Amino acid sequence: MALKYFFVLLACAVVLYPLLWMVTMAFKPHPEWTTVAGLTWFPENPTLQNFEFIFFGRAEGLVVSLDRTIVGPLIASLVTSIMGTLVAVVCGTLSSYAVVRFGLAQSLPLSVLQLRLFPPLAVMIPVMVMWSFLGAVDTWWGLSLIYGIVTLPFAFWLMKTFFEEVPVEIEDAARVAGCSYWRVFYRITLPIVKPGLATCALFVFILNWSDYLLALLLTQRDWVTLPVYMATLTSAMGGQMYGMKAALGVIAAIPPVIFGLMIQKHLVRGLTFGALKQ
Amino acid sequence: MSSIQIQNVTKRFGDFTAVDDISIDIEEGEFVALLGPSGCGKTTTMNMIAGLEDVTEGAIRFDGQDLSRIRIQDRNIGFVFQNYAIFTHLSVYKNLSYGLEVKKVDRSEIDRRVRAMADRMSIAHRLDQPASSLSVNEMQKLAIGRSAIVEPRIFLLDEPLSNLDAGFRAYMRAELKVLQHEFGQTMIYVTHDQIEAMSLADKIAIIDQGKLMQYGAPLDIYNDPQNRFVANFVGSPRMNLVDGELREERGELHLMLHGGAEIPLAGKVRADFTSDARVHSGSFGIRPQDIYFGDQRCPTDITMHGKVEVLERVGPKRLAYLQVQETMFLAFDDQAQLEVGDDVPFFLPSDASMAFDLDSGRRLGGR
Repeated sequence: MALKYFFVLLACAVVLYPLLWMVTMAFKPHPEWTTVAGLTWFPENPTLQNFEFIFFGRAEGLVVSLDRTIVGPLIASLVTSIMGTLVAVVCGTLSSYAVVRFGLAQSLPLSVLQLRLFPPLAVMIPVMVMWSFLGAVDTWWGLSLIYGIVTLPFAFWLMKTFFEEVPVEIEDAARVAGCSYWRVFYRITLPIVKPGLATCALFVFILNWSDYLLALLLTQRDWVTLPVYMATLTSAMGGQMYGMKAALGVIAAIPPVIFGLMIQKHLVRGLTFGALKQ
Repeated sequence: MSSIQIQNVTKRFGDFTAVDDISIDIEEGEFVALLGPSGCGKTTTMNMIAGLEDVTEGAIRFDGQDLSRIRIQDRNIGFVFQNYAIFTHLSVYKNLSYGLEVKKVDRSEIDRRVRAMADRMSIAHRLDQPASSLSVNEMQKLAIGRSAIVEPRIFLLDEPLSNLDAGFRAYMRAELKVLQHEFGQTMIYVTHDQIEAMSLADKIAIIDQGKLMQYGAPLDIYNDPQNRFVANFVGSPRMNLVDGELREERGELHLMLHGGAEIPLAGKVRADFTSDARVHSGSFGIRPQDIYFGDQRCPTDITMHGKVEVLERVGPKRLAYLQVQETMFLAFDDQAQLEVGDDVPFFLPSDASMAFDLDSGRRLGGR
């Protein structure tokens, strides 16, 4: 029993320690970022300077300034991640349902997976060529599209397992009651897999939200996302801007956390879906 | 209410023939059971009637109208599934009202009918609760209520009682019969339990490996099985069915059993076996309750000798396992006179015995 708690605590420590470091760092003033005297656990002189700096490009007492604030990348990240999630979840859900329920395109599950077999970098050169040909580089829809495509296999496979859990008789019962196929899907099956759908959306969103590589290669200025923006936070004079990066990390952590809390009720059910047999 | 004609229906899944040339006529208001072992094609037959599966060959007609032209949503069928297929994400009320809502029935009418049905199925106190919170017994009632509420033309039940505990199953069996009487609907009932089929149905269709073995009233099937499969399948305890070769010696016809014993054939059953000269190996059938002990009651009754191996109590009676060489006969010890280890004579009444062709399984002669 004690051992169990020990490992739980250990796991929590491993997961939470970087978070703690990030949050405390975000509230530390510049002199406390790195010190000869050694780091402190908590800021001795807590400040909002770092947040002020990334939101307004300058802050009291700092000589450096930014030509670019967090606002643009934040919007870019939100737009592209949400749109990419929509693309992946909608297409993944519909296609996996078609495969599971109607036995269509039996080879599709594996071919979809092939996309994931390559390291993303391997396909990025052709994608960059195509995207520039389409005029999709550094546009919100170009980045959303590639996010949707890259996470589609994940959404497809996840939703496939959820649909496989739904007894076909429930759909038959609705059809016998007079529902069309579409209505059965929309009114019966989808509500049943709602926990799975929510879980799937969250996972896909997190994948998109934390992407660095695709955004780095497919954006230049207008639609630079948070991870790419974070990497630019260095200054010739100040070196690594740890405080600002930590503040940015805190801001960047908020949307997934809110999303997670919103669907918390479904999340537990979604993660254990299939473990429960009626 | 509707009459249903199943005409030469065949269903294939790739190379596998699930249903093979089945024809069944069901009268309006009849209660028909499709009885057979698991995987015999009875559920597939049911699904074709409901329209969940297409018919490969043949036709299914409702009141003479070919079903294949009617979309499933317009067939107006009540279907109770084996696993109930309750919409667990909805409340009990919503489950009951679902079919009516799809059919765009008036709100107040829906409410009236839902409450009436909930009362009828005694789940009224559960109406506002999520359907997933119901017990298995209540889910069963809900499943039946949900199908019945739309007043379907026909009612299909796919092994509805197989998941219930024994006590509630007996109760639901009686309840179903009452319901059928109330609704007056044509009902088709799939089961592998012959007792259910016998007690509920007006007619029974016995299916094996996709083929219709016999179709008729329960008692006719019991008393006059048309083939070896039906004879073996219907009745509890099972009919004694012993296989052997026919041999004629000095004008006497014997069935030389594969277990080593022989049955001297006489009377009606002898006539049955000789009715088809092509038959060389046969199966002799007699129900346990027809075998008797003591004195021979009729000169044509066949005398056998066997050793009592086991005595099993079945209700008020005892069932004796009689060993004749390698062959076992089951008989009711109606006078409680046997002891284990006894070597006793017993009699097979010729008139109650049945003859089957072993190769085709066909009944020889008749009643």
